[in-house]
This record gives sequence, C-alpha cells and structure tokens, in this order.
Amino acid sequence: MSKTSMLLSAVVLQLAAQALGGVWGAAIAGIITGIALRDRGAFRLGFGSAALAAALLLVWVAVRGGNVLHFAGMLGGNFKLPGAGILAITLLLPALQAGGMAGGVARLARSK
Amino acid sequence: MVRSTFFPLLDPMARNIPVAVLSLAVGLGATWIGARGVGEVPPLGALLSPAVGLWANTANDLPDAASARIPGLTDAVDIRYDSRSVPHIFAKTELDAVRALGFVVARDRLFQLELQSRAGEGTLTELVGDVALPADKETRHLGMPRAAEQRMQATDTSSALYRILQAYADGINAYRASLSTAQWPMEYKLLQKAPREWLPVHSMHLLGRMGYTLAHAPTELDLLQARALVGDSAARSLWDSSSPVQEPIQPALRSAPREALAALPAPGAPDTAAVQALAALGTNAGALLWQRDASLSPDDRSALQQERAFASNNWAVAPQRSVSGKALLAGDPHLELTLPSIWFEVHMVVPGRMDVGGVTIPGLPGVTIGYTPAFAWSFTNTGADVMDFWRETVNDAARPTAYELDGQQQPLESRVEVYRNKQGQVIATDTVYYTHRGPMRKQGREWLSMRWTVLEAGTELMGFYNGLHATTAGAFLDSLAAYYMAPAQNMIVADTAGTIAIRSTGKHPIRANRARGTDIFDGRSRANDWQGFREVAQYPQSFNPAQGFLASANQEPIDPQLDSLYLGTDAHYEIWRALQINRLLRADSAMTPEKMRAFHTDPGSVRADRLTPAFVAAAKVRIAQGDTSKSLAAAEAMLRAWDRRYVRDNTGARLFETAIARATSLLWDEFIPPGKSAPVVRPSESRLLQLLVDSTSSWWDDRRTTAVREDRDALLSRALVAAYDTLVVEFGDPVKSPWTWGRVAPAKPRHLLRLDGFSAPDTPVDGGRGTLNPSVGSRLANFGASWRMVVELDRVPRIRGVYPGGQSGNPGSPRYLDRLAMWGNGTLDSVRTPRTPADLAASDIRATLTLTR
Repeated sequence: MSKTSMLLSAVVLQLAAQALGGVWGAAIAGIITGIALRDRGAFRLGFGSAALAAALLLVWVAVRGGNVLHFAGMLGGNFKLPGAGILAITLLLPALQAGGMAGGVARLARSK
Repeated sequence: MVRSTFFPLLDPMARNIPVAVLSLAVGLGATWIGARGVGEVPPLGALLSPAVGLWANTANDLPDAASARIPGLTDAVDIRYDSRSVPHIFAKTELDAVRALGFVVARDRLFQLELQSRAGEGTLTELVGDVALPADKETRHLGMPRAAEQRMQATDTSSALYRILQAYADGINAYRASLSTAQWPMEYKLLQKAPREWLPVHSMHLLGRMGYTLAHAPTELDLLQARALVGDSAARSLWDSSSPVQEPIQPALRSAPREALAALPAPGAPDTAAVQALAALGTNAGALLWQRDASLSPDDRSALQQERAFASNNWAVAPQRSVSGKALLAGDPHLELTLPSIWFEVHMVVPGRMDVGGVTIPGLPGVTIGYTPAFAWSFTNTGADVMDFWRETVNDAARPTAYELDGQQQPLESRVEVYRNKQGQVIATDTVYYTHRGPMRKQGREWLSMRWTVLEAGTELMGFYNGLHATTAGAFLDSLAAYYMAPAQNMIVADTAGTIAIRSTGKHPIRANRARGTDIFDGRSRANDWQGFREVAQYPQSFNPAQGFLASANQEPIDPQLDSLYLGTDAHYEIWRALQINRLLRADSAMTPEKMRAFHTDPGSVRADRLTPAFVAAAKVRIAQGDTSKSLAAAEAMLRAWDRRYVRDNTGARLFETAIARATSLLWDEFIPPGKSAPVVRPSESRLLQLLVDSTSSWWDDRRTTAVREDRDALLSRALVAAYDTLVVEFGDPVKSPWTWGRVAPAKPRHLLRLDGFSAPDTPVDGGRGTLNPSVGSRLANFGASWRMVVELDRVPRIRGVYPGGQSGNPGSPRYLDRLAMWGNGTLDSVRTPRTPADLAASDIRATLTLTR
C-alpha cells in the first residue's frame, strides 16, 4: 500500500470515528491505525490523519453554514484565548490522541 | 542515533517498549484531558470536537424545510419562518398551536427555557453548580417553588389551564426528544448536562420568577433602618410618602404635573422603638430577610435598585391626536438585557379562533405583549407594594411547631428544602416554615412571616387566552382583570375602533384599618391580616381620556389626592420617564408612528433638565466665592456646555451621572450607622427635587465634617469636583480624550451564563438614566429596552418592532445577534401578519416546518 493510500485510508477512518465517536473516536481510530500499520511512522500517520480529519470536519461545518472563524473568536473570548488558539486546539487534540495511540500500539505490536 | 543514545543497553525490540509507553501516554493523556478536563480546564476534546462539540452548533440551525412529530397533535401544523426568523404557526386547534409554540420556542431557546424555570424553582445548582446556591436559597425561602407546586396540584387536569400547560410541555419535549447529543445547545455541552424534561409546573415556576423580577421590592425594612437613624418623622417623609411630583398613570385632568416640593423634615434623633426592633432583628449581622439582593453591599444594593428602576414605558395616542386618525400604541418594556433576549417573537393563527402575534417569554405558553387583528397591548410594571411582613410569636424559638393567632396555637407547616449539585449530591438543606400568611423565617431573635401576591398567582394565562377572543380594548382588559393577580402590570390597549385604555391590573391588597404596607405588623391577631383586594373599579385606569393620550413609565399610578388608599410609596416608583413621555406627548397633537418610534430613543431628560442647572449654579457660586479649583472650573464649563441630551456622542452626560452619584453619597451621610462607612439605605432620587429648593436644609450638611456646615452649593460643588477627578483617573483628560457617552456608557447585553465570548459587543446607544431609553450597562447589571413596538391601529394593524439580540439562542447561529444593530440604532422592523400561509410571499420565507402526529 502506498503512503498516499495509507494516509487516505487513515483519514477516512478518522472522519468516521470522529463523526461517530466524538472525543473517543480519534483515539480509537488511532489504535486501529497502529494495529494496521505496525510500522514506523504510525505516530505521524495517526497524528496527521486525525488533524486532517478534524480540519475536514470543520470545513464541513462551514459548508453547512457555520462561520468557523467568527465562532472561533467567540469561543476564544470565553477561554481568554485568540480564535487561532481555539482552532489549533481543535486540530491538535485529536491529533495527539490518534498519534499517541497509533504510535504506541504500533511499537507494542512490533516488539512482539 | 537518538534512540540508541536514550536506550543504549536495550536491543532494538526492547527499545520499542519505553517509546510505546511514552507514545501511549501522550494519546491517553490527550484523550483523558479532552474527555474529562483537568482542574479548571474543561473537557476541551468533547467541546471542540468538530463533529459533536460546540462547532456542530454553528451549522445552519434553521434548515430551509424540516418536519417533526409531536405526540398528541390532532392535525398537521404548518409553520413558516419569515425572513426575520419569526415563526408563523398555522394550526387547526388552539391546543395544536400551543404545542407548536412549545416546539418552536424550544427549537431556538431550549437552554433558556430550563435556566429560567430553574431560577423560579430554586434548582439552579443542579444545572450550573454550587455557585447558584445563594440564589436558590433566596428563591426557596420566598416560598416560590412550594407555591408553584401547590398551584399545579390544585389545577384540575381537565381544566383549560392544565391542558394548555401540558400541550406546551408536549411541544417542548417533542423537540427535546428529537435531538442527538451533538445537537444539544452549547450551554448544555459546556455544563456537561443534558436537557431535562419539561413539565407543566415549570411554566408556573417561570411565572413565579417573573413575579420575583417585577414585584419584589419591600421597603419596610429600609424604613425601619431609616427610623433608627434619623427618627420617625424624617424617615417617613422619605420612605412612607408619595412622589413629590405627580404625573400619574390615571390622568389627573391637568395640563402639567403636580409638584409638591415641601421641605423635608430635618433629620432627628433615632427612633428608640426602631432601634430596639432592629436590635431584635440582629441586622448588624447583615442584610435583612427577604430584602432584595441581600448578598450585595449596601452601596451596590442601592445602585442596583436605582438601575432596576429603569423599568418600562408604554403610551397610546387617540385618533384625534394622530395624523392618520387612527389610534397609535407604543410598547417599550425594559428588563435585564440578556442574550438570548427574554423575548421570542411569534405569530399564531387558528382560523376562526385565534390570530395573535407579538413576543412570548420562553416558558410561558402565550403571547405576553402583542397584537390581534382588532387591538394591540403592552405592559409596564406597576411596582405596587404587594409584599408585607408580620412579627410572629412561636412556641419554640429554636424549633417552632406552632405560632400564636388570636390567642390560639396554630400549627406551622414546615418544608425541608434540599439543594443538590450537578451530580445530584446533596450540598445543603434547610427548613422553611409556613403560617397561614406565607413563609416564615428567623431574623435575629424574631420570627417574621410574609405574604406576597406573587405566591397566590397562577391563573393569569387564562386571562390572556380568553382575552384573545375579545374585539375591543375594554373587553381585553376585562378578561385580564378577571384572572390576573401578579405581578401587577399597567396594561395599555388600543383598538381599531379608536379606543385607548390603560389599567393597573393585579391584586392590590387592602390592609386592616386602611394601614399602609410600610411597617411590620403584629402577627398575633388575624385582624392585622389583609382584608381583601381592591375591586377592579378601584384599579387605577383610564378609557379614552379627554387629553387624547395615555402613558405609563412606572410612576405612581394614581394621584393620592384623588385616591388615598395605599398602593405604594415613592420608593416603589420612578418619576423621570413619566415626566419625559408626557412632555413629548403634550407637545405634539399630530402624532405619527415614526414620531413614536423616535420617542423610544429620545435623548431628552427631564431629570437632566431639572438637576444639571443646580450643579452649574452651585459651581458658579463657589467660584464667585473664591474657589480656585481647576477641577471645579473645568467641570462647571463642561456641564454648562452640555445640552442635557443623551446622544451617543455627547461628552457631558458621564460627568453629570457621576456627579449625581457622588452628591447622593455625600448627601445621605445621615444613613451611615456608627462604625460603618457607607449609607445602609438611600432615599429615592426624586427627593433631590425637594431638597434643591431648600438650599440650607440640614440634610445638605455633611455631619462627618464637624467644623463646617455645608449648604446645597457647597455639597454639590464638592460632588462635582470629586466626580470630575474620578473620571479623569478612569477615562483620562477630557481635553485629550473626550468622555464620549457611547464609549464610556455602552449597552452590552450579556449571555445568560455571563460568558464574555457569547455576550454582545459594546453597543453605543442614544439614551441614559431618566431618558426613555435607559439602556446603560454597569458592572452590576444591564437593564434596558427589551422589546420596542409601535402599532398603528388601522383596519389591518401595522406593527413594527425590534429587540436586542436575535431569535436564536445559539451563539453560533447567524440569527443570534442579527437584530442588535437595528436595536442599537433605534430603528424598527416591519412585523408580518399573514392570515394564511399563502399570505407570506415566497421571497419572505426563510424556512418551513411541518409538524405532524
């Protein structure tokens, strides 16, 4: 499987998992990614696919009429953060979940 | 290389383990923090999940076409949202219309529904946590949830009232059941709570909460404190007398207000009886029982009372004074400005039965202020005194079980109040006792009971529903009077036949021996109970007055020279806006809807016109006497140059407002108890009018400066200098950075949970205290014009209206703030009144919703 195919598969998996499983979805998809890959680069793949999936879901929100940038600013006002910070956390949290789980599971699988 | 540096002794396979653990720790840690949060950090993963978190709420929340089911619906309901997002409900039965009303209100305001009803139920802690415990305790100590529950238990399930409440609940619950967790309103996600089922009693709780907001202003304890400091005569002249200027709601057939600016009795020696009574009540420990905003400092409580006095305006003009020859009506209720707004705009049509539009309060199944094809109506708060206290004699001062009444021991009812947190754990309990009058609580060594019309209300809704079938202003008012108990409202109506009418509707208690409700009564005798209520014919009211207009703005409803039966004191009312609106209406006998619209944000102020010259004159006197203070000269010049109009770019109003606050602080030093630094009570601002004409009154003397005896000019000048210097520190040198009103006193509607990010931006407005648009924010609260409406009662009434915010309660919705700019500018939007779905042009339809069984 080419790297592009792997990335696409992982992103599709993340999209489904985050859409259906919310905060747990990214981690679960990360575990699946790690088991499936069992190779170096699992962290990066999990991290990147989760961030990309989150970004695509945000785009989907915008397509359905959401004013993402404006709302990021409103949310930031509640947490004393700039809107860009809210966007960064939105992408980073699932990325760390998925990357960490994928990287860890892949390493464990390799060690056996 | 890096790996072998860190793990040099491990073989390549074994080296995987620590890295795997580290990697898993990152993944698990991020998941844990994301799902549960840490300390003050909320569960950001759940909140910021693009699929199910807050982002999901930003997608279009009003799809072009939607359908839903409501169990119990008898026929399909067609709902058309117009381009202003107002739902027009077309139903075949009234109960179906109410079910649909519940659904559409929940669709846009689900969280607000729950928050407001819990506020009246005293269970806010279960939604927002321990922070709400003081508010919940106050609600329960007032007996509000018990009263609502008793009302529901006493309501026959086959009665029209019950069926309306149940139909409304069915609509709300049908919407709630249709939601996935991803669709829950943002506030639930932030609070990590689920929307609760709506019960008919929740509407009763909300009604009680409105009573708390509008009819909870006891003054007995203020008067007692004042008597203990300045004696009975002086205290009663301030707290137990009518407004010094009479421009009543029931017109007094005069061409000008009646002024009775008699000199105030000088402060005297403390009233011994009051001192002893206060000692028994243990007031040194803090605020008195049932006193509003008891948790605030006396200064803040006083400031809030003054701000809350910015209540509402309404007025109507008879055909003979309007250009079109039609009656005109304006509604302008002022309440706390929140996001979402307290109002939700709606229109309901049931052919042959009902056609009503206007604004509803989420939680109350009906239109509160609005219009039908035959008439339009609006309210202001009457503010009458409808809460009294009795000193009870109990059998056991620590754990009473009975109280004395006419020489007999009467059993007390007790109710244990249990407070729970968000997780359902008990966080506090207490016991509230009840006499036949109402709740009883211990204050110091005394037991006080209370009676309040709000606790006896509950059938008001039927007045509205029956009234909607009326075709005349008088019939509508009569329907309301038959059912309406509290909170008492000045109900103004105009109809298409040209009638204008107003009535201060609500139960007004009659005390024994024509007593006033300003003292605490002896509870040992039933003879001291309320003797009944005024008859409707005794309500302040007027139909088609000769003057050709009617106006109410929370002033004293009837001139005591005409009717001396006690309704309240000057402390319950406000005079300034009534003077202003009557001034405007008297001056113009060719009224138009556009002029009425402009009145809503008219920057003129009788208050400023009457009080500003006193400051300027005082400063001039002091300067002439040799006062060389640069601040005084600068302040005098600034106030003199001000045209006393609160337009948003004026630069004098801020100084005037601060000077007034300083002056009253200095003036009422007599109400600073020994050992305290601030007055515990403050008289109404209208008393300044009496003092200004008495320049050497001993009230002007600041007793803390024992070496000098201040007169009016000395005190006002000192206040002016202090105000100027304070503002220089706060806003800078006015020469370099003018104290522009719109910048230093903007309106700022706040989110219900006071979340800054979901609150409105600072909104400069024309208006201020004493004007018809007192929409000024402060650190304590933000009251203002919550709904503006102008109706021309033509054959088909023409309505225009606006409120601050938007129809949606969802901060991520484009409909959350879409009306704010229009409201800020004082403009009004055209309200659609389709009689059938086909009457709404396709280009004017924003969305449709079909409800079926």
